[in-house]
Amino acid sequence: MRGSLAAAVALGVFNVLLTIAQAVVLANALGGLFRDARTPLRGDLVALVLLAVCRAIVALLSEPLTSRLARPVRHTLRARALDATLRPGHRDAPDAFVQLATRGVDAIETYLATYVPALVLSVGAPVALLAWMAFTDPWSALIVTATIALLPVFMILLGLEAKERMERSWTKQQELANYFGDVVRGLATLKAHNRSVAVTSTLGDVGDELRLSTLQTLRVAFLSGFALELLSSLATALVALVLGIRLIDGRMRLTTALAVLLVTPEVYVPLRRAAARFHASSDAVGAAGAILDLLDAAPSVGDGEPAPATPPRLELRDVRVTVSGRDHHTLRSLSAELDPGAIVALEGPSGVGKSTLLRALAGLDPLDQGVILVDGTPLSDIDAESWHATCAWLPQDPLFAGATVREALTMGEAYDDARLRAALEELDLRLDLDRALGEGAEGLSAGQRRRLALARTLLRPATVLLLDEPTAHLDEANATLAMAAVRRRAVTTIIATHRRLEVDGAWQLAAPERFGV
Amino acid sequence: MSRAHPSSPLRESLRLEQRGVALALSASVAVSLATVALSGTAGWLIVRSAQRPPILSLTLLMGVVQLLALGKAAGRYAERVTTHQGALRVMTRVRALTASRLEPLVPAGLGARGADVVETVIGDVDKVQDLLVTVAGPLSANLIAGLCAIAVGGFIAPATALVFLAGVVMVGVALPLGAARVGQGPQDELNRARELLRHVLDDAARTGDEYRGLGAGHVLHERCAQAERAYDRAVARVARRGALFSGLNLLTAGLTVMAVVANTQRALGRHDLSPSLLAVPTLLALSALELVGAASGSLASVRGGLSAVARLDALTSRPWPVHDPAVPSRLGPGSDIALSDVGLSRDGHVVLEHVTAAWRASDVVALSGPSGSGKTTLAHLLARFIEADAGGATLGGVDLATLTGEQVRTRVGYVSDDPHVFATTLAQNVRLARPGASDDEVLGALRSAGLGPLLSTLPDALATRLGGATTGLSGGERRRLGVARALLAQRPVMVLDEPTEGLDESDADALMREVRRQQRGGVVVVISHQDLPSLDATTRLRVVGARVLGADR
Repeated sequence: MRGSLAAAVALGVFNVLLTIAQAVVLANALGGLFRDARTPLRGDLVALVLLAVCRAIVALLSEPLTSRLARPVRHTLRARALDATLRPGHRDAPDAFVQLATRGVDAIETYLATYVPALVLSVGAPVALLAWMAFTDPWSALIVTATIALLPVFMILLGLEAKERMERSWTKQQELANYFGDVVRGLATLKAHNRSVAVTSTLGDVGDELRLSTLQTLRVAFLSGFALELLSSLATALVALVLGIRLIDGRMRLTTALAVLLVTPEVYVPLRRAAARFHASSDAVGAAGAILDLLDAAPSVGDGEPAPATPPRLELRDVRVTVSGRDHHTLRSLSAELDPGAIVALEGPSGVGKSTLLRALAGLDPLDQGVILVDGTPLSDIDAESWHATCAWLPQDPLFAGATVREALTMGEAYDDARLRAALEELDLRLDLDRALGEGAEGLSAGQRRRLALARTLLRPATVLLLDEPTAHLDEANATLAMAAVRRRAVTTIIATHRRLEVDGAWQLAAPERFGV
Repeated sequence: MSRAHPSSPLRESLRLEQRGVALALSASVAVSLATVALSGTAGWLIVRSAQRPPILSLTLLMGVVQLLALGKAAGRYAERVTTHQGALRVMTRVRALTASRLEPLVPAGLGARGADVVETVIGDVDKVQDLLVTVAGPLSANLIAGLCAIAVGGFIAPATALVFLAGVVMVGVALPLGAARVGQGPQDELNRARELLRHVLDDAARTGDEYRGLGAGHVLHERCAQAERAYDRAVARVARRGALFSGLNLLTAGLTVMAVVANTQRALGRHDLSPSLLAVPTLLALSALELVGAASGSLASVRGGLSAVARLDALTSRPWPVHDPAVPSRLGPGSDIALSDVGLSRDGHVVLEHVTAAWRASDVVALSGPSGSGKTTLAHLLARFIEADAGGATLGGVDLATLTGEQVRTRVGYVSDDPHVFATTLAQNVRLARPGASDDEVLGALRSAGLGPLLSTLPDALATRLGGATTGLSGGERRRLGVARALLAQRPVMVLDEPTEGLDESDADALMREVRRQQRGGVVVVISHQDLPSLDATTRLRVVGARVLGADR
């Protein structure tokens, strides 16, 4: 990124030189006309055309350069954010994550690609312009230097507070968007209780409230812009005044005066640009904080040992789980063993933690207490990716990826249609592979949904099956088919179930007494 | 309130907030004018000084220059505050209006993919905000200022007016429009790439567990990398097109200034231009072109914003699934329900036909049938989320069509198969069903719905915050929450859509027993694909192929 940054800055400096040249040529032409309206202007006009061409070329080069500048950073951040959200135990609202990984990451890229070069130029360009001015007209240079010298004081005083407020404002903007999203998504629920009209009418008040606090922030944030604008326009006016007085005295030539007048506002342009970008990039500062939190919060997963390739022997030692969102262990500690290739039923009242235990076994959530041994190796020592590839999990409320039955089954992996059809047929599920499907597979009956999810699970080349209610919503015949299909896999299998199933054994999960079901 | 609103939420919001919008726009125009004027008068001052008049004759001009400088700075500040204020005001209205336009449509009027429609709406509202703040405001203000500069320049030196106009039109209108046109392809490509990326990330966030749990996590990484590469290509294309047009922009501006200088000479030769004003056209052109050029760059992103506006507008033209009568009847004394030969079609499909039924107080109706058979539509009909095309339906002897939805829902409580959990406390989540309810009543409803055990495990009991995707509530618990709301609301008729899905048999039985106990003396209608023996239904019906069949025993 350093090379591109240097190139971007070099183009910026070249642009400054072109600005000075254009001012000098224009002043020369107008000064000539002032002395004699018939002064030949051909040379100046040709120079103006050449300068215009040069500026166009600079623009042609710099935009693609800027767009590439922070690309590697964006790639890294996005990939790491995705990693973090896929790690065990990570629980962030999907909407917030998507917002962060798209708009947030983009804001950081924009910050790096535009603010950083602008910042470098905001120092370099005024120095170059002032050097020319000092050489041409020391008085004007002095006026401009004086105003610029005042700037940092203003900026630091105002910028610091603005920055802090901006960070808060970023989360506030999200709040408003989230509130709106929550209301709109819950509109049907509200309507059922005759509350939709009342609640939608509060959107205005909530928006007004947030608007007022956002405006308070902006009023302060804009003050630094105001200081910059004030100093720059006052300097222009003052320079014009001082130039005018010396012109009247005859101590200065019009050509010089015009060139200086044209260059004066240009000194502030890079500063203003940096300031504008600063405000735009306050978004990035807020987003950067949120992304760092995300990357920090996810527990890091080191490279572990590879998972066993054959159906393993599982052993649970003193395992306890906490059902998400609750602060008590809902499960009395469990110790049990399972032979390779055996099938065990996980039984117990609902809410006791069967699903949570299956999630832990699947490596989706960390275990609160106890150890799971896989062929004698603690699960936590096994490489997560490799363990995921080893087991196939059937969630209690499955969601389906993709838009068709085919995509729901393959999940982006390579399976040919014949295998997919066989997987459906095995469960007597007659569905066209091209049939359109939503995330929750709304068009299917509960039983079809269950069998589709089971087919998806049984399709994987797994040596451990973790099935959460595989036969729920199925009639006797279909349940028998499903169990036969599971048995055919001959892999280590744990089934959370309410139904009496023909299995090799059962683990009884019990709640602590005080839990009282 | 009986027909759809014709106007667009954005236009309506702009109209409602026209004072704020006008204020913001006039501040923008004023500050753009001050910028151009400062540059012009400063040039005038310099050239006039060079004619060496008595210094006193210039004090007025000097004063004007200083005043413009102050005014420009103060104006810029006022402009930024007022435009943001205006945009935030408008956006608050847009959000509120959009929600109120959606309100009559949910849940039956958004089609089969209602959830997707809602998500699109949420994204579009954000796009409208971008359109307002970054594009529409600055562009219009600077164009107005540019035209004013032409007028003044043309007044001073008519010979320069034509090239000046040509330059501003090129830089401010023709080039940006050309850029928007030629840039449309790349911009669409970028939007698609961004959408794809968003989709992949959203997929990862929502169904990441399924991917990982099935060993397909690598697919997400590959897809993300692939989407990122497409995004890179699109960004590069957009940047190249953008660069081309900013190059042309600067070239045109440079040539315009050159032509203005050449024409200044001609005007001086014909004595059309006072020599003291000879720098003014050039300086006006320089600053006006800079302003116009700076704002027009954003025109390329207008399209995305406009299509978001169009989609939001399209919402308003969707037909309402139910129309409240202008003069509603009074509710009848009881809450008996009678359906006679009810028929209902949607988008050319028959959803219900020849449905006839009569349910009285203390009836417990079990309604079963395959998916897509019309069970949920029948429930929507009872809650007056949708109305029948044929036949008659009465509540307490009064024709449903003569009652408003709100009236009907004071009698009919409906629990959907997917109750929303709001991002607020558990108490608020239940209390929305009856805002005045006490904590004890809320607790009672939660316990009756079988959420007592959950309650005892929540860290802050009733005050625990729920919501977002990580509610910590399972599917079964979400449905119980829905039932708790309905129990708190205490409606004489309760319609439950798949209340026991996600619950095991004994829990389902317990819940249904409790509902029956709480609802004693009222009507209970339970839609379920399961057989619920504990419901002890007085009537069992099957819905098959849009028809309601008799007893299913």
